[in-house]
Amino acid sequence: MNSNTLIAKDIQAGYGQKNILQSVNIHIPENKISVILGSNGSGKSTMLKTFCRLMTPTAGLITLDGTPLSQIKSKDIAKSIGLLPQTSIAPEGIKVAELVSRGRYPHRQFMTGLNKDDYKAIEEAMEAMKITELADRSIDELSGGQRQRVFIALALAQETDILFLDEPTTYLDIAYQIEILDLLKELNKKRGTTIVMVLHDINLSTKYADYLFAMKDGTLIKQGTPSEIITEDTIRKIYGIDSVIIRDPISDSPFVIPVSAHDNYLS
Amino acid sequence: MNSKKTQLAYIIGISILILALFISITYGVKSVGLSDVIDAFIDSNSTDYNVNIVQARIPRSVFGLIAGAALSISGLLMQSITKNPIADPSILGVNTGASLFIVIGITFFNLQSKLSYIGVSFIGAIITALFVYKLASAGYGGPTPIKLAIAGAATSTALSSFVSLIVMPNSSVMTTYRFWQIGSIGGTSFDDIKLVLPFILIGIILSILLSNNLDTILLSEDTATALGLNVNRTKAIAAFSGVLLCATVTALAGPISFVGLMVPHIIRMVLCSNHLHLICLSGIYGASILLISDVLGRILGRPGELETGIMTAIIGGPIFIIIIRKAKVQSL
Repeated sequence: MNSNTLIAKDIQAGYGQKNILQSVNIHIPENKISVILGSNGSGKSTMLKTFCRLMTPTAGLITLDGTPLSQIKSKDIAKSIGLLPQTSIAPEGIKVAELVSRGRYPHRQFMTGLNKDDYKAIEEAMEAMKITELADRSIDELSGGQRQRVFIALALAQETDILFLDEPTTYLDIAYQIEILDLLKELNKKRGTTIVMVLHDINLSTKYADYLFAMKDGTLIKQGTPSEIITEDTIRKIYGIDSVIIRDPISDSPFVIPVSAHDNYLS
Repeated sequence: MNSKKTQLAYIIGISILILALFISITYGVKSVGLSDVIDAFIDSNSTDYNVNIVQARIPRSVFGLIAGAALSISGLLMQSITKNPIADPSILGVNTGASLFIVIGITFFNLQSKLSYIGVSFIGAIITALFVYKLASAGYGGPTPIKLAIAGAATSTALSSFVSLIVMPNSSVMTTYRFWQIGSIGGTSFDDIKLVLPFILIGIILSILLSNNLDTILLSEDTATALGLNVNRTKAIAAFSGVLLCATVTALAGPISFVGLMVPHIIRMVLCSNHLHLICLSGIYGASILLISDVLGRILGRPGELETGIMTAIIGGPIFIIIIRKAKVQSL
């Protein structure tokens, strides 16, 4: 269980000729929840994709416990790094338990069925996402929040020490958002899973993250704990908006109130 | 996850297949009884008329079984790699591509051996498959079911007009081609079976070996990659197997349509998505459907017979319409 040190050195990546990431250096904090913040097109999704090898860096190196990702077999990486992509799809009519079992792919031997370890991992993943009672339901019958929990369970069944999530709460209402983030927090506390997320909601990010990465135009402009880096100045740098930062009365984390042009507010 | 439903599907499938095989051997312009079938197996040198009929029909039935299984699995593979419920060798125009190359081979290169038919058929099929997929991928949204169907239909029409162009002025080619083109499993011999069997086995074994990968590929491409699957390699091997299966059958029997579309689709609908079972069950039910179509062709076409390809189209056409209406969901 030591495979969880993920470091990116001077990585560049992009689509075609266009470089989106400009020489980014990141050390993913082990056993912590990190959130990558940034405006649309800042490169946060590209960074996440590069870590999950959906994109190959055009320059630089990503290492897992000191070994470059390019030198590790794809299935072995998949035993250490899991991903919930922005959009997940499932075969029509598939049962929840069967869908979650697909997460066992990297652990399965050629041409064999599921073994005891597989069933145990599937069960635990469903328990962690509180979907055990949905096991025999068809995925098509589920609500958006339930579906997302099933897809996270699929990634959990993969039993990785590191889990990336690309906007796991998009399209979900606030109740589901809190539910999912709470479950992820619990996972992080119980198993020590390193979690890295892209989130759009700054205030949920500061509430749940131990560590924040702020991106702008393909570079990392700031990193640190929410209290360290969330300032009016940082918010202006990332999103180009004025804001007022107050303290969340419950968690004491920074709470960002954006200033609207109609607010007649002078900062 | 072996459910009762799956077991039941195997039991019913195998029973239907045995029944279909039996009817296919006994029923025809001249029907024979069970005793004749048994005699045919006991005494292979018998001179009894009925026993000889049975012996003559066995290769046809065995070939029908192989062809049905191969076409059905081929359709399944194409549906899974394109994530498209209406992918199928005939709809994607792959059959027509194979036909065109065979006709060119016969007319201009004087090809005669059936092995060479299989060769050119495979080349034609794979070129067409790639072309149609590329064509349908152009524009927004990638290869959606409707775009694939249109690209396949357009390509198929274009290619078959080339076929007509070559065949029409050539009366000798025309005669051979006419029967072949409709799709018939009649007139196959044990030698033909020996010839196709290795290719079919390669296709089926490859697809069974891929079954875990195919399960994974039905998730989003990002998820599959994150799970450590080599998506492109899996697609390439599956496409190779799918095209090999349909091209081999097409080379000998002509284009038989719709088997590859309806069988896997219905099994998927009823039983869901474990590929190991999907492949085996598609094979079993595909073989049954083809044999039953062949028998129906003999019943409806009396005193002669209707070609198998016509029967599968009569049965498959309406099912295709149902599927395409449902396909608005756009996912497997």
